[in-house]
Amino acid sequence: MFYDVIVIGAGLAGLMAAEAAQRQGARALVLARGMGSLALTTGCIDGLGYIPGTSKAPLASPLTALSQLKEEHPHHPYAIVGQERILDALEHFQELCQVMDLPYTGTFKQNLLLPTPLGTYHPTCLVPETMAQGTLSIPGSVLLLGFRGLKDFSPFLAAENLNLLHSQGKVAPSFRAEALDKLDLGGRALNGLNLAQAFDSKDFRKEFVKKIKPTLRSGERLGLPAVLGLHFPGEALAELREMLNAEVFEIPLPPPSVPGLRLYRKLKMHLQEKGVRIFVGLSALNPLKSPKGLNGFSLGKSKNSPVYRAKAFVLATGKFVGGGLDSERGRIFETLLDLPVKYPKKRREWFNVRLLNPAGQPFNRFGVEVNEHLQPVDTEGRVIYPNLFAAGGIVAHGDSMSEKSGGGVAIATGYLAGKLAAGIK
Amino acid sequence: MQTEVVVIGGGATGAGVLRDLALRGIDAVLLEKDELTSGTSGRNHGLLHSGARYAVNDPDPARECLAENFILKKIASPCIEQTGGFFLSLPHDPPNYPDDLLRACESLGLPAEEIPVAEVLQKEPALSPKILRALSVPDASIDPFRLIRSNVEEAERLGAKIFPYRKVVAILADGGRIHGLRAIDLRTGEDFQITCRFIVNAAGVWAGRIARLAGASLEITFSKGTLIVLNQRLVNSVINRCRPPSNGDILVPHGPALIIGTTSQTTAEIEDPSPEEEEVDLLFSEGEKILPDVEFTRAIRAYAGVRPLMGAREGDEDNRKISRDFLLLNHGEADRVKGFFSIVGGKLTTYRLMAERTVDVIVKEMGRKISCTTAEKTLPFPAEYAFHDLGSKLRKIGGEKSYHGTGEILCECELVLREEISREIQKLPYPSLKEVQERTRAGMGPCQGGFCSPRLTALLSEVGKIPPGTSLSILKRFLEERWKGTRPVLWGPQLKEEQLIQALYTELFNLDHF
Repeated sequence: MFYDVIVIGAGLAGLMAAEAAQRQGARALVLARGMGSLALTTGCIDGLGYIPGTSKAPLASPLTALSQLKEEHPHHPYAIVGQERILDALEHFQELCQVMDLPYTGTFKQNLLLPTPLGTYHPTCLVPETMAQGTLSIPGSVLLLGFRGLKDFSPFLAAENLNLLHSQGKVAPSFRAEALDKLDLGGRALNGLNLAQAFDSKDFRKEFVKKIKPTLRSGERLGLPAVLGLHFPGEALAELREMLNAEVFEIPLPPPSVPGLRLYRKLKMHLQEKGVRIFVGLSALNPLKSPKGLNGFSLGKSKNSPVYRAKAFVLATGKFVGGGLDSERGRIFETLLDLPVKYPKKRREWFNVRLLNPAGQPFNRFGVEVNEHLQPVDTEGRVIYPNLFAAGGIVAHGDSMSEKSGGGVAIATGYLAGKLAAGIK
Repeated sequence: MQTEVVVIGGGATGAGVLRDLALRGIDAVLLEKDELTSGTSGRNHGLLHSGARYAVNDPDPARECLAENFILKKIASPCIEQTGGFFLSLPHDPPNYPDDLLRACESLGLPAEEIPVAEVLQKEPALSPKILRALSVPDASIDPFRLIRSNVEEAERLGAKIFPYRKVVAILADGGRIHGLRAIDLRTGEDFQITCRFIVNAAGVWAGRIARLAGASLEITFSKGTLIVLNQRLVNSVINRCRPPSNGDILVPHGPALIIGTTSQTTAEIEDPSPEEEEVDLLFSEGEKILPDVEFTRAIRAYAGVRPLMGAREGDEDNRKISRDFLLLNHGEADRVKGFFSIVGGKLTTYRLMAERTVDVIVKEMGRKISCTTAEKTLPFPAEYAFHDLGSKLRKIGGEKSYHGTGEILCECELVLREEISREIQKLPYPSLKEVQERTRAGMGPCQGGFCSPRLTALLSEVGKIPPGTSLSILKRFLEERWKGTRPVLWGPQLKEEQLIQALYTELFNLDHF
């Protein structure tokens, strides 16, 4: 089967690459081992929260910090993509989200601080509309509401720690906490995913409003764990606001993350509607190479294994979690094409002695070296396959964890890689 | 506060001395500067030695281990897995060692027996087929945490008292006779004074510091040993390399896990011994030789302990030559501090004997005649101290309707329920995350508490068991401790999981900025 562009990986970078390629008129195919890492993220698009090891307080604006980031990390994916194309990609993403009926507010020009389930804050720049009212610069009082038995969200712990920040003048609102008694989800386990599916039902929402209305004080905002529906969060949000006559917002939970899943599902559906084929769950992908470059992938090793060919390819397989990188006791390697990965020989140099060092862990920056066109290069800087582009976590020198830059880097590199791949004739 | 005897140190030795004193009806108090088992007693193989390991070169502790091995199997059987053990020689091991070992065991009366290699391989098919000779010995695995808790809890029932987080800062003597000590409560900073006639220094690696407080001297060599926990029980028997003691020569199965140890390195760092990548690599390369599957098995954690060894000599590089025997020092004779005793060295296996000898001397000084009963009296093990068996836990949780749909499994790796954790938390005045984990096994599985420790922190905070405003620093401290153990074994699937866990703490919680 022939395509113009094959994208490997169904995370945010891969899906954005497919979208960009499709938009250029390319016939695109996504091949992925799993469903990508979106379900492991907050669902927010982080821009640049900190310059690791330098900035102590969250950066006011990712945009204005780009030049400093470039100075300290000249090979950073943001430095490769460049300011104009980053802004272009994120703008495009926001338009796309509007079209997909999953609106994101915010801009790359300004960081927002959002509350976390531990009662800390997290700098990010594009947030789903369901989280917007959680922004910690909005004053007033907030009721954090938990669900007894939902183990990853303790409203009491979150409120205690957020109030500590409030008393230090670091966040505007003040908080109090309540927990709803155990809900019966019809015998299903009480977790974020099942609760979100319950919230998709109008009847469930009505019952919920009945239970909490007496608790909510007038003028208070309502903060909930991110469970406001898996399929129709916008509808749930609007309805709750109206029935409660209060602002409502969500706080993202540890994985599996409902807001991340919403984005994954919407992007996937959107691409499929546009004719992009997406195959998820492929455990064996064998590259077919020729002296000219990469030809395609076979989905197995036998003669009869299906083969997919394309003119150009985007590698968006992620780091270790995504499966783009893997390791042995003394070795780190790229899993699909055995592209060179730079790392220190001594394993102890892969890590920092302190776990929560704001400078980050060296291994989180490992990846594939690319040139200014996002093409993977060897140790001498030579392009390995002229028709291969890399995007997202697999690209070296970015550390989404210490920088808080996950979604932004994925969108910026994914969008660019998809465009460039579509340009290969 | 007033008592007869103060025991310093909440490891195996101190716990054993406290129980022995309590059983003989002597009023006693135990002080520990941290938590129980926070020192060497909680950082070892968990091996119930048969004595064979020391039979060739160190016959005294070998003889003691042998006797205690059989005593502990009688009095503490619920915390012992009677695995049996093998000494196995590989092609490059000293060819005469098996015969030396057999001879040495025979003269000690240690039931060692040569058995056909084929028989061993049938029993333990994961072992290397290159094994040349095999001897069987009565080694076993023992859980030091439950053993020590059982000793302490029985002593408490008999009226003894235990105070964790009390650091001894002064030992009070008058005219060469002990009359008390001063400690500080490390949690509150409060002063804590006890009047007593006798002090037992069972402080392990810190025994030298305690002795100096009394104006006495005690020379201890510190030997660091690093161990690795694999998340698969690749063998059901204790495996020893049949050669003189060296790196990575003992493998001990523990519940669902296998422990490989150890290294032996003279060290000055006793407060915070940390395993290093190089030590892990050494243990792996040795472990693979005898058990090839080690290479492909997930290591979930490494840890290091420090052995307090007695009788070092200047310039001894290889501290394996120092005897593993224990020393009971009556400072009344040695340093003219009457009523002050130090009990140091020895093995976990010989903790009871060390306690018996110590209390014998104290009783004699008291001019009384009460004999020791610890070798006969069975230790109490409540039902919830039973071995953590994942299979039966799963059956219980899956079988009971009340658990369906409640989402109340706080630790998914080890299947620990919220109610189990709440119950243990209620028992402790100031539970730490580590204590909760040791008691419930929450956080002891492959993710090492990566996913459940925020839940445990929230639970502790909700029931008011930690001071307000301290939850984040408690969680961070736990995570940094955890990192010391996980970092040296990060590669393959473990590195993958660790990256996800780090994403949780940094990308979601932003805890690197709090």
